[in-house]
Amino acid sequence: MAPGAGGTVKRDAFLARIRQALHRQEGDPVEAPPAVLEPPGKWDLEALVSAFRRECEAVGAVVHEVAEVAEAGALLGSLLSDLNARTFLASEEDIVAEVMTGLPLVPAEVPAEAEVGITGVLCALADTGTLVLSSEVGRQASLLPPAHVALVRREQLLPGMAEALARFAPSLPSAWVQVTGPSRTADIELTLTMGVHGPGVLQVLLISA
Amino acid sequence: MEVTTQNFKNNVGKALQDEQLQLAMQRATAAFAGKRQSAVAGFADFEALRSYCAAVKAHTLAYLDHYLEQLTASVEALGGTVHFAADGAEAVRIVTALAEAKGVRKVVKSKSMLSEEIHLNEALEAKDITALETDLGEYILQIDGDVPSHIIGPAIHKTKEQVTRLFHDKLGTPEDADIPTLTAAARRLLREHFLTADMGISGVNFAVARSGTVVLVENEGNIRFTTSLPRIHLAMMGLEKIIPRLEDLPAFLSLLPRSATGQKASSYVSLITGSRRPGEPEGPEEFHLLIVDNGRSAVLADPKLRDSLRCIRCGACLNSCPVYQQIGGHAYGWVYSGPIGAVLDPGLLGLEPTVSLPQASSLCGACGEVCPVKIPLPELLLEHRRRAVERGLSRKSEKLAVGAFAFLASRPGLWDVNTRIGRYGARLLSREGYLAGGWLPLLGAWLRERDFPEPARRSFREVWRRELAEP
Repeated sequence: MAPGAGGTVKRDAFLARIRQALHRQEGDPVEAPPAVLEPPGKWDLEALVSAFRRECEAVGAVVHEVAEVAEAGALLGSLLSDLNARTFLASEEDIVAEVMTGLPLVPAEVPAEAEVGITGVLCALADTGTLVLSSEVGRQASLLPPAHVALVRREQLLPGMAEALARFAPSLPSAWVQVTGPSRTADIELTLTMGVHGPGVLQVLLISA
Repeated sequence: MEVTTQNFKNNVGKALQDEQLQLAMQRATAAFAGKRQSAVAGFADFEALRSYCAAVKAHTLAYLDHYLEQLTASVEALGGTVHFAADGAEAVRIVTALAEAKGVRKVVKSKSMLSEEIHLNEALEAKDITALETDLGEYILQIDGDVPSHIIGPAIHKTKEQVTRLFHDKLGTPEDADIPTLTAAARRLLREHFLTADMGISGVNFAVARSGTVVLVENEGNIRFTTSLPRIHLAMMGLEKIIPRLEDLPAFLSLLPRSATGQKASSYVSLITGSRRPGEPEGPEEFHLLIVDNGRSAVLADPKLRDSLRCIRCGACLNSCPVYQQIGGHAYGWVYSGPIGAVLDPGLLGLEPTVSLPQASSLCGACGEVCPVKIPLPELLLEHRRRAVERGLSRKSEKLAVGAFAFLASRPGLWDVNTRIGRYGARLLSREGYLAGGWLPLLGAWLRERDFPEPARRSFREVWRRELAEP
């Protein structure tokens, strides 16, 4: 359904009603919106690491700190054998390929049947223990499998969403997704249950170098 | 959702008799309110954020024509299509026509109060298009033929025993299934639908005018599925959901989950900016944004009620309201319940069919104190009551009583005689220091629920005249 002539008429009538409600004419001036609340602007990486860890654990995500990529690969191998996962779904990122080198895993033939999803992140937010994921490298690896392992480099840590937007906006991907802990619901008597639609397990490998 | 706001009194009567409902409501509202309280208590910037978000929303509403145009241009620049609907019927026509034109057989839906407003699911089913609710609470309601009773926890009026029985009957889960088992059953069933649906329909928490981004907040992941897997994504929003800039988001995304569920951050926040880009491996081929008026421009035109359009649907006013805690959401008779419903429903549906709702408040002021965007809810409840009186919509008995009071109160002699008779009569009716007039006509219903102390032997006016006034 293209926005044909009918659509334009509807839109004009719609906007006319709004202008009438506000006693405004087309093209009337618009005041500047309230000044944005600016974040402090400086941060200490060590403090971010400990805040990120604390906040992740508060929402049921597990953080493992490793020194470098090779160590991350070894740890990932043992995590996956703990999870009993052999088939995976991964996002299209260099870090994922590097860390997975040499692991005895096979890509899932049917994405929905993958046992684990492995992704990197665009950045991570210490204030809330949040991973920021971009659709530029895919959407499904962090969503379909019952477990999600995210690979985060230390320097990808930022204090909060304001700093993340300052760094990456306005060029947003089609989906910028902020993940804070595993999927959860409390829709039955407010009883917390993990993994209702998204992954019920979230493991973060925080890589120093 | 059917409008039954006219039957408020009957609805309330039924709700108060329903022991399951009372149990569920007590468990739920206390838990919600407690979580919010602890999230807010440990957060120094909360008041500053409230002021900021209230100001941003008020600004956006004051220049809404500009921001709607900007949002439309931004979405179109990304290759998306923007649809405008003056009312619910038009909105439904747009969605069903789009679905039919695109050969859609199955729709997965994430939670949208607006879609309840306009009866979208029924309209899709009438066109032979399967429409599935995917939020766990909404899914429970859909398979039970029930409707939501709370903005955040749509099924909180149900006890887990009721859900266990429902799932056993409809989905074949064990008779004694626990909550994780029920949740896993819903996950399995809905997963099949996510993978085979042609179209995902979501609501919108915030729409960013400058970037054309729609922002969706959730905990389950069903919104991510709805907006990622089907080939078409349609997001539907009331015209009041706009904010100007991406930079406004951190404040709103900090305020909303704390006010709603007491979380610092919701599990998933999706910023959806158009459909899949060239080079992106996954995502929908088409993005449609449907902007709906359905009575909102009339609220916008009303300088007093306009503030109610700031609402970000957190549900904090519901949880804090002593009336809502007792009667639950269904008694209000429409999509929006609790204090915000009692303010918004008369605005959207007109005061005539909803005149009882603003009465359902003790004016304790709790709703106004918890509102994250500082909507003056108690004042707006009073404003509706004032208008109801002005327009002659108040109850006959109320008019009669207030009229009689005004007549007596402006005639001191008559007042004295009548209050003396009243005091004497009331003392005759009293037992052990309290009025016992449950059998009385008119007053009886009031007295049965309340302990009204026996009146003093002499009125204050008498004591003053005889003993305290200077000679």
